[in-house]
Amino acid sequence: MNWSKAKNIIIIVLIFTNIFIISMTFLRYKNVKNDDTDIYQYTNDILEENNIYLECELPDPIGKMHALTVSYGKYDSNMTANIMKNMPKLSNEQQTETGYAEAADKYIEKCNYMNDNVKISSVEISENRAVVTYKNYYKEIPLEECYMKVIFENGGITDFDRKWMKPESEGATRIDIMPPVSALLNFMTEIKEEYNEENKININDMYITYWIDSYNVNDDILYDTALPAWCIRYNGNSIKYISAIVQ
Amino acid sequence: MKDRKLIVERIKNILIVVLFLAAILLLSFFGGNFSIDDLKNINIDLISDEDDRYQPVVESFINPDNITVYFGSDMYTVLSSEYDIDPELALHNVQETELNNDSEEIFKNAQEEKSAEAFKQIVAEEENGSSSDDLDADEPAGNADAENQNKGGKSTLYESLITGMEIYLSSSDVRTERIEKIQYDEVMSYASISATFKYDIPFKEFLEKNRLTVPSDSEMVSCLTSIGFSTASSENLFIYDGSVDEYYRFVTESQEKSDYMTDALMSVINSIEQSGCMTYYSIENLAGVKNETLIPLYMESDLKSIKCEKEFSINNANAVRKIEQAFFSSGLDFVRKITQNKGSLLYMYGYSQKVLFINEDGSINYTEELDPAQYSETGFYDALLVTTEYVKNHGGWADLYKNGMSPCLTEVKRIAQQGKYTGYSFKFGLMLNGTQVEYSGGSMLSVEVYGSQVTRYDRDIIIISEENSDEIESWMAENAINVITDEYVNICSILEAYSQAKGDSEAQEAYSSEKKFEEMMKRVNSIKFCFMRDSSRHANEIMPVWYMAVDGCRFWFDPVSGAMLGYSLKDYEQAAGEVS
Repeated sequence: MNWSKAKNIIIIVLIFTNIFIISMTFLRYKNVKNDDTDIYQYTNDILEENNIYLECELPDPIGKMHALTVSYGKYDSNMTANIMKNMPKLSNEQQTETGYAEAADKYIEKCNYMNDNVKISSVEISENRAVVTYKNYYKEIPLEECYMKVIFENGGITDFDRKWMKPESEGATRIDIMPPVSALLNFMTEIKEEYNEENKININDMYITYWIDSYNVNDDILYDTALPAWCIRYNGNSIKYISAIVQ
Repeated sequence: MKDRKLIVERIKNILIVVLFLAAILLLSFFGGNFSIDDLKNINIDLISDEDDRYQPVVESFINPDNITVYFGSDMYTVLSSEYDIDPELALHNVQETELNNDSEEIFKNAQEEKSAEAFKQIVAEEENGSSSDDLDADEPAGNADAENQNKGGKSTLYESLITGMEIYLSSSDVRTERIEKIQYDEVMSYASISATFKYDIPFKEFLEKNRLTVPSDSEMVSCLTSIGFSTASSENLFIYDGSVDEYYRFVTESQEKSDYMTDALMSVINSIEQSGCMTYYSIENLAGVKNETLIPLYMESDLKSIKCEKEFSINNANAVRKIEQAFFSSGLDFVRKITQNKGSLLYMYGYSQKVLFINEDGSINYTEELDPAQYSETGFYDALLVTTEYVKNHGGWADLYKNGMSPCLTEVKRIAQQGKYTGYSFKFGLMLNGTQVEYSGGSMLSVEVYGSQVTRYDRDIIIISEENSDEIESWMAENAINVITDEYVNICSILEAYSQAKGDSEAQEAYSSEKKFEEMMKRVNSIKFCFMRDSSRHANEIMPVWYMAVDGCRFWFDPVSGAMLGYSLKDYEQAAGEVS
């Protein structure tokens, strides 16, 4: 048998096969993109018919994600209170957004709660009071609902509140994640009692999170499971979490 | 030149490998988000335990809680449904004299289980002269006899009673009549036998499942709770329907059948009396208050405290994984799993569509939202079949048949959701070598089923340790009536407080009055000698106790000293009281 000729044939066949697969993948991607555009428009139309308006950019589809096993961190309030006492007060000049943020960072570091997953989410200043809020992230995806809040009054830290989850491990398999357009339709179904023609719903933000429904959760929990969910913020301060799992 | 060719060939080889790998990678990419992670955690249980697949037949659970035999002179005995009698004394299915009228009935008896040829054979045998007048008990004449012969000479009293039912029901002239309780009590005050179930069974289904004739006018009987035969009124079969508290009789005018039943019943009753069974008396006889509940006069026992163990430990990862797979067969990907500090595990699917608790003590609680799309109304036996199959696939039955244990059906209730979906709640208990094992709180196994869907499943099983197989000598327990007499003040004060909490002023007054003993005895539902698993004291041990139920509340006593060991109040099952 002429192996050399056979090899030539095999190489040619493999080249054509790879070209075929690449072109099919490209075509599929292009169709998906077109479909996505049509679906987005269709969804937007339905939402607007029901007085719901999207005021933010629709996030990209995610594909697949793991579930996350987390533990609930209980914090030593005595320790944090003691550290609080020894934190210096901010002068009037330092009572800016940046100043509060830096002071809060130092406090969190002293409490040993700072790591790469901790990021400042907001600094709210009003008169003599300021609240620096931190959010928890895992691989750039926020864990909700957990936070740390450092409260300042007259430049000094007067209070600290922490509701925190620590990621322990990822789930065994990756889960298909619902596209954002489907999540919006589910959102519409779930809040249908709140909206009517007079009540306009403005969706301000939408992003993927790891979420634990803390309803009925008690303090005896060692480990919990955070599942992917779409967080939809609407009408300013209202939030709804829509399960992102496709079953 | 040769070297050049060699290099070209090597390049081709490398190119083939590279292109082949590229094709595979592109295919996986084309397949969409394929990941090596997806290959992990494929659990293939190639070999499942033979025991795990065992499923008991539904009919094996439908047995009377007890069979009461009244000898006369206020003397009773209480037997289990498995009590054996001499096959020669067993009741036989008696055919009627007129064959012409019977051919249809003979065929009806045969058609369920036998072929047309068997039917012809039966008719031929009848025509060839085993006369239907021949009522000799030694001469087999019905279906039950063939079954008896196949059992190597054993026959249970309950099987005989079933055959006895067919004797009446298959009569061409049978008619159904409602009777008053006073009439029933009157006839049963003579030598009689009654088999009582702990639950109400739809009458027609019971007859069909036991291959008994369904009389045309029997629709008035909704359920069956007890079956009664009286030597003083042997032309009648008595049925009590506990669901509506009504009594019925099935009457036959056949003198032959009536005479046969009188003789057969008396033979059975006499043989039981001569066998030395434990004698029972009614509370009415012993305490002078109106209550038909039976108490044994004395109790000789060979029971002892027995160590047991939980079916599985929550620390056994394999056992926990099996349970997870049983309830969430598609995996835990979409399930929220919570581990509590005390070790218990909680699984939630959807918005509490399915919730599974695996408690730290090894018990399991599962609930599932009713799916109206799946719902269809099913009968008693079909619902029980769904239940037995569900248990087979979620924990299994095998553990319940180890070391002398066997499960029994202890309670059946009709349940409903949203006003239109009806189902059944089944509770199972445990028997150890024929003796009931009571739980101080909860039940061993309980299932709620709507149609083909189980919406609730609770499992808390203990297994008798093998080491407890030693025999011990018989010992005499304290007399039950003495136990109650010594402890009635304590019992009444508990019941008084309970009545007060419930707002039942009449009961409260009764339990606090001077005649509290009589008032309490009037309300006693049952007294028995059994095993108790008192989870507040020794969760891994069962002990023999005197057990008493009053007004739905339960008390248990040390069988030697008579001291109260604990109690459990109705609607507060989890808050069993420990008596120090």
